Amino acid sequence: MIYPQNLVNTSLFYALHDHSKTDPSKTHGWSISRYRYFGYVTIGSFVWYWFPGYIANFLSVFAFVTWIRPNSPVINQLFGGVTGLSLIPITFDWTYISAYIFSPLVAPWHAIGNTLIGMVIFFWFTAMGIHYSGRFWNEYLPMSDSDSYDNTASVYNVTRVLTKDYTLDLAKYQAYSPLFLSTTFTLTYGLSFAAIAAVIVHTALFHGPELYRRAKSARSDDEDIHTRLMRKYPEVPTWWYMTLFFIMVGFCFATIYAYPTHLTWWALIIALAISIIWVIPIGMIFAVTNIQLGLNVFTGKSCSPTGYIHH
Amino acid sequence: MRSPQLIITSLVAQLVAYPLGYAWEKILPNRQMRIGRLKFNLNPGPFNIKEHTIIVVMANCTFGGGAAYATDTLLAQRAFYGQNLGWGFDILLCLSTQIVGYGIAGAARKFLVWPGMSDDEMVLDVLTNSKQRP
Repeated sequence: MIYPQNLVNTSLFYALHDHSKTDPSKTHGWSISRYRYFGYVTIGSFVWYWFPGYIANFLSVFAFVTWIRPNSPVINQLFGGVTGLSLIPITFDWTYISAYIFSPLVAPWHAIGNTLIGMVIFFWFTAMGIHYSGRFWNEYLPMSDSDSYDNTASVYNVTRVLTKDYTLDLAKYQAYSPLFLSTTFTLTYGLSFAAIAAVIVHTALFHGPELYRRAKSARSDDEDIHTRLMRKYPEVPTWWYMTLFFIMVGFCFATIYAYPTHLTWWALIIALAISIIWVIPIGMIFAVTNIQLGLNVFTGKSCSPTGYIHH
Repeated sequence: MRSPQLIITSLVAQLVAYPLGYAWEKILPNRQMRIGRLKFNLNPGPFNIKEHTIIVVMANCTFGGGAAYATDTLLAQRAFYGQNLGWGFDILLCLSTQIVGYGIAGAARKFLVWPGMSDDEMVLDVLTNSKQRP
């Protein structure tokens, strides 16, 4: 439960505020101070970023296979970096590496291994299977895109199915077109539901007894040096957080009723309940592996006025 | 919109706060000031790691790991649906969702924070180590 992201922050504090040289016996003979090292790396990455960012954009997405045969859709779907599966993923641009799962350098090995295996199983084999079997009309859709499409394979024009006050008009929807998504987008939505169900079961099975014990005890009973050192600072009482919570729930109700959002009160309560139930499991996964699971798909389908439970 | 998105995390706040903190310490005067009945000192001492940590913790509450998630809602409203409900709605939405999250996190401290090393403990680790230096 180390919250790997915090290690990065702490290491940076250490580097910025402590300008002394490092002890060569601990660092294989290097005696440069962390501050100076950080400065060199910052200047170096600043200079380097001009190349993939501006001068030579091909360095960002180095999908060289697509250069061999640029006009072949299958090669683009398999090896392309932007709208394809990117089977040979080479990039020289750090902003692409750390874009979606925030810096691979901080996560522990088992988390990265897990992500890798998941990606191979789902985003290579399953996505290829779905796409080339044409199950969801995939022969007309891109492999990996974030747009939604209509039945003429152009981008979905949402304004055509909305009423004047931005709710769904069912007749117009049936006259226009159902929504089509690219292959990996569909897969992502399905897997998102699976992931948040899995995280509850995982937490209940692996951490259930520990959480139960911790809920019963008034004070945590692991006495490491840090907990003891922090005991001298008075702790913020829980009722303070609870008061803040209830005041702000009041604000939430004010927000949804003062403006034409069409969100019903019970949908808001369901949304709050969902986040309360999932905060501990998702927090534990984030604390160990630096993977931020998102509830956005689940709540978007269940609570929003266009979602499932309003129909 | 750019792909991949540019993510401004609390790490950016940490880096930017460092020169700003030092500039504050160098530029602002170090004496007691008064406005009416309020007495304060604009520049009580050198910019130290504790102040820096508080800045980063506050930044993390607000936009740690990207933007506040409510801004994604506002973005979808404007870009996808063409619906703009005004700045009052934006402020109320972001404020209420963020602070509700803060309240929930405060209630979950017992399960998520104490078992392992928390942010404060890591900082304390750094502080205790820095004290050993001459």
